[in-house]
Amino acid sequence: MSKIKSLEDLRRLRVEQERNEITRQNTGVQVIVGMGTCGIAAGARDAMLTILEEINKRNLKVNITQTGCIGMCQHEPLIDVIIPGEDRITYGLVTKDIARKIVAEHIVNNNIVKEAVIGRIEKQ
Amino acid sequence: MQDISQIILDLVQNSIAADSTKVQIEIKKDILRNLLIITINDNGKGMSQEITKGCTDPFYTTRTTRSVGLGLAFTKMLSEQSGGFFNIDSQENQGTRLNFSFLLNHWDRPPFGKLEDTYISLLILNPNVEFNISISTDEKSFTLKSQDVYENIGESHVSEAWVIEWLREYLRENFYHLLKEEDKS
Ligand code: FES
Repeated sequence: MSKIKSLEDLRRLRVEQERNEITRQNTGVQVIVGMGTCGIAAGARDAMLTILEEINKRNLKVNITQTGCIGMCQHEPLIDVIIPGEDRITYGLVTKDIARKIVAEHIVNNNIVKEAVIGRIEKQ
Repeated sequence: MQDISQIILDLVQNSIAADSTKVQIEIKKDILRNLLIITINDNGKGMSQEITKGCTDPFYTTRTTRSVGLGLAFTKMLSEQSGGFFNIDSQENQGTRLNFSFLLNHWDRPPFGKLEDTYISLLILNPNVEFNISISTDEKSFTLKSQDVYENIGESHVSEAWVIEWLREYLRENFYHLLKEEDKS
């Protein structure tokens, strides 16, 4: 039988974490997830958590935020990636696989995942 | 919207859009009355009477942009189809309270889904909102306040892997221990 955890374990874990804290590389990247009704229905939550998981694996730091309905239901889940100095890219129909690719290819290697792009806003 | 965890996420998004700083989510498994009752309480800007009446009608058209998602209409329909009820109560500048239910053993009652992921997503995406969740049965209950999480880890760590992993397990243990369901997966 597994022992039920308590919040104190979390505090203990934090102390442990701080002891071997690896500095996370701040990328300045911004990821925006569409969290309107159809985004959620299409799996935005899983796409967001997958992106976070991949980012954490690589010890990167990105800024994840959300936006509501943007009126493109048929393309949900929608994820925007903004890399400083680059065009803003909107990805559509972001499955977990595409979410992983976005981190590995776009955020890490700066290669846009072309097959999933549905919009591009030129950098200001 | 395939499951209750996504319905809740969607409805709480309305609370966030209404500038809430505090959202209380309650899930009650009332075995005696064969009901699963869900309450979402927020302190957001609320809605006028007219909008409160209209917002559960999918064809309500006075709004130009859809500020209230389709989620309300959908949830109302689904709960009523599953033998439950749906109530919405909103006061302008005070907040909104949703209270809806499903018959626990009804065919059309959606499964719980990943409630833990809904809670974690809410925490990560809305660091300035307080989220409290409680799950109860006739005998037992479990509550988690986002404040308690922050006190133990420090706010800036919330999106890190070790926190997410830990919370996920913690919530799963406690949620499904109480809800005891097929969808433990
Ligand atoms: S409700 Fe579908 S894009 Fe907003």
